[in-house]
Amino acid sequence: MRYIFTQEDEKFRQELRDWIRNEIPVNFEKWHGVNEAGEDFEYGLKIRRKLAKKGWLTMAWPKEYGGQGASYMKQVIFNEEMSYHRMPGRDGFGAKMLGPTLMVHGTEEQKKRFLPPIANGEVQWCQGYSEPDSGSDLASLKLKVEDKKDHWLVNGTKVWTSMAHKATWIFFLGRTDPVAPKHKGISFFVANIEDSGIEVQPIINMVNEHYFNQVIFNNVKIPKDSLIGELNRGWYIAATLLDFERSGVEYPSSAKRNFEEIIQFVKKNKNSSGVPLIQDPYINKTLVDLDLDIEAARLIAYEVAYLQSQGEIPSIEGSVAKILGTTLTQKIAKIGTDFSGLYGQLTDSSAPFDGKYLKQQLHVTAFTIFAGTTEIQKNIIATRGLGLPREDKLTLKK
Amino acid sequence: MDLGLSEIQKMLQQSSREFLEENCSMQFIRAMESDPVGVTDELWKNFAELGWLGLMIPEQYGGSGFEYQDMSILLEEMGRVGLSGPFFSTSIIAVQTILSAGNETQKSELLPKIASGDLKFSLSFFEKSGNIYPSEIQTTTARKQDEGWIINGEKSFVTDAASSDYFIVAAKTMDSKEKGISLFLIPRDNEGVEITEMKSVGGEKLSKVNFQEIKIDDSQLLSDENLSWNVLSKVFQVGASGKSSEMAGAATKILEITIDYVMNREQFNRPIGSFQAVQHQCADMAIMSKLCTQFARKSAWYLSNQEKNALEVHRSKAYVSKSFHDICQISHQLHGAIGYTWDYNLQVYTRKMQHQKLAFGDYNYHHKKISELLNLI
Ligand SMILES: Cc1cc2nc3c(=O)[nH]c(=O)nc-3n(C[C@H](O)[C@H](O)[C@H](O)COP(=O)(O)OP(=O)(O)OC[C@H]3O[C@@H](n4cnc5c(N)ncnc54)[C@H](O)[C@@H]3O)c2cc1C
Repeated sequence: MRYIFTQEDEKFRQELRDWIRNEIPVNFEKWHGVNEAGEDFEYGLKIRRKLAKKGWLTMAWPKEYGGQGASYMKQVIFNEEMSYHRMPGRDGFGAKMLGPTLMVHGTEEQKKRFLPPIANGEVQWCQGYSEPDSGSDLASLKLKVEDKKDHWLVNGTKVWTSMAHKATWIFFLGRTDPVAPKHKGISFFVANIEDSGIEVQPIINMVNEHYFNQVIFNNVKIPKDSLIGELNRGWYIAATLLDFERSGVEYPSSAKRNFEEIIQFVKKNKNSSGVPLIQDPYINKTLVDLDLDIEAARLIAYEVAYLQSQGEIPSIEGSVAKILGTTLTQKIAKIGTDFSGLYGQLTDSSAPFDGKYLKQQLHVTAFTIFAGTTEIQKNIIATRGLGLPREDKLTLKK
Repeated sequence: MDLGLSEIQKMLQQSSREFLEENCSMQFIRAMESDPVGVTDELWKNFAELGWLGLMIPEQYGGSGFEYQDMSILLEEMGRVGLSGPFFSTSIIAVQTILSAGNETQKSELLPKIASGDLKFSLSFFEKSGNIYPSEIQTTTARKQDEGWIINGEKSFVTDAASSDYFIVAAKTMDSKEKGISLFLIPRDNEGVEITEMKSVGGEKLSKVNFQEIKIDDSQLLSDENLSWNVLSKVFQVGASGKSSEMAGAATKILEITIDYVMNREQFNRPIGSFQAVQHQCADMAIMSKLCTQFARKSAWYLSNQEKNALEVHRSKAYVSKSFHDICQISHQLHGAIGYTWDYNLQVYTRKMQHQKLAFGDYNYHHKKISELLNLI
């Protein structure tokens, strides 16, 4: 047992922190992050390229692919500090998801072509999985991909595709065998959005921002070498990929920063009788509960990384981390607005934190939905983790 | 960051699980609830031979020389089978107190006898209000004489009083609050000691102990005169972490009992464990149980390795006390009426939980402490 980081890890944390503080264009106290999917996309890319130069963008990658083969704990620290400091620039789709998938399933040619631009922070990818009729039941997806000898012909619609409007490339799942059992007729592809004539239509979210999209494939032709891995094995290829997505230390880490900000706020501000808000027993209790929630989410995220470092594949721990982390972000955003009193409904600068928590509260509504909803995570814990029978696989006794 | 167990801890976990499963069946645990001591002589001897009684005692004093973090793994296993009894009072609380407060003579006289199973101890701190603050000590005083001391007072919630050979008594020696507390060693059979049982729900042996004009000599002063609060607060930290570990071990067991039950109980022609409403409650239990273990282990590790460890202990006892209660409640819900019966073993854990979650500070107490340490007040 050892519940603290090594000195070497802490040295890295300090180096990273110094670098980040230097990059933040304003005083850290006033820094609320940027909108990477919108007006600040270019700024995010600029930081991404700097991270690439530092070797941090793909530090998780093996050395043979230009990475550092960094330990899982070092990756945790990287994510912790970036999230805590609200830094843009990380590359969830390219560096964290597609890159590692290509390393396992791509041909030499595909690796040579796609990995370096990701490693250099030069390209934005997006992920086309969900469809209008296939969300949690992703394996039911219908997007049709036909083998036309010298190319693939793609027809269908993807939806909720984050960042597609900023991306040059998309990786996606399509149905290549319409009669096989649903998991066994899916393949994994990549495509250049503009060159292939894929149509991206904006969907405005409830924060009134353009973050995700509808992506339409209308008789889209893509080259034969767009297939990644074996034909009809796409579901399993995607499953390896999902394991990279679910350690979740970023949730408690960004929550921690918000927590500190909220504490400063309730210490500084008083109610109309002149009593500091922090002396309100309800507020006090809420904050301690929040401390425990942050600690819980952090512990489980560390456990995920620890298991990975031992060469084990976290299953229930990954789901627990996703549930706890995302629920935590919702709690803290709600508290941020609750403590603002009537000002909690304002979006202008007279609101505490410039109305940031209100916006955040709308934002985090999505967190328990994307990347596997809370309910799906609980299904996974119960069936895969605890071995309970799956309802859909049940044969009823007479 | 290394969230796994060391080789030694793994061995301790495995060997203690085997021993306890074989020797502390539910039938035995239930029998011990009405036993005045809560443990048999034979089992106590076994504990001594296994090196458990002196697990935390350095080798120079006849112990096994392990650290508290290792003990916490044994406590998980004891919690798993539902074992209470004098082990906690003697081998954790008393050992920790004597190690931090005793002088060389006291250590070399008392600790080997704890390790060998010849002496049992009990800490008498609480009085009527049952609060874990220095101000708790209202009635118990120690008057200095030309030679020795005279002790008077009434203690409550004393664990394992009837089976102890010695009490470690916290008494007021001066008026000021924290500095005025000293610890004294008083033999149970001393004239003027009167023990009255306090009936507890989970087989925990709790008593009131009255001390009347007890004359003792200077050698029975355990701690540096008047500086005992430092010692006690450290001891209470270990106690709080230890109860967290017990509850974490019990939580894991309850999850297993529950999964086993919902897989086998059938309604509507299928195992109830196939209903999603049931599955999600199992998932909630699994999440909380995992965290109980992590919080408890983290606090144990901090106690053994870090100077600043209070915050982690408070977090642990606050989280585990609250969540373990929830785990018991959900488990009962998923069992239906059978879990509500005296014969079904689940309820044994639930009754014991009522003690564990309150001992060494309840959820509210630790909550307040976190608030203090985070400077929220
Ligand atoms: C902000 C945001 C960004 C996204 N980005 C992307 C992206 O880039 N690429 C992409 O492919 N997708 C993306 N998604 C889509 C996301 O993966 C899906 O929203 C998610 O998988 C849920 O699918 P759904 O929305 O169709 O909901 P549904 O699956 O219809 O679920 C609706 C409700 O039913 C519950 N439910 C469904 N099935 C079960 C079950 N078996 N047991 C219990 N409850 C069940 C769900 O938990 C949920 O509460 C994004 C979503 C959001 C909100």
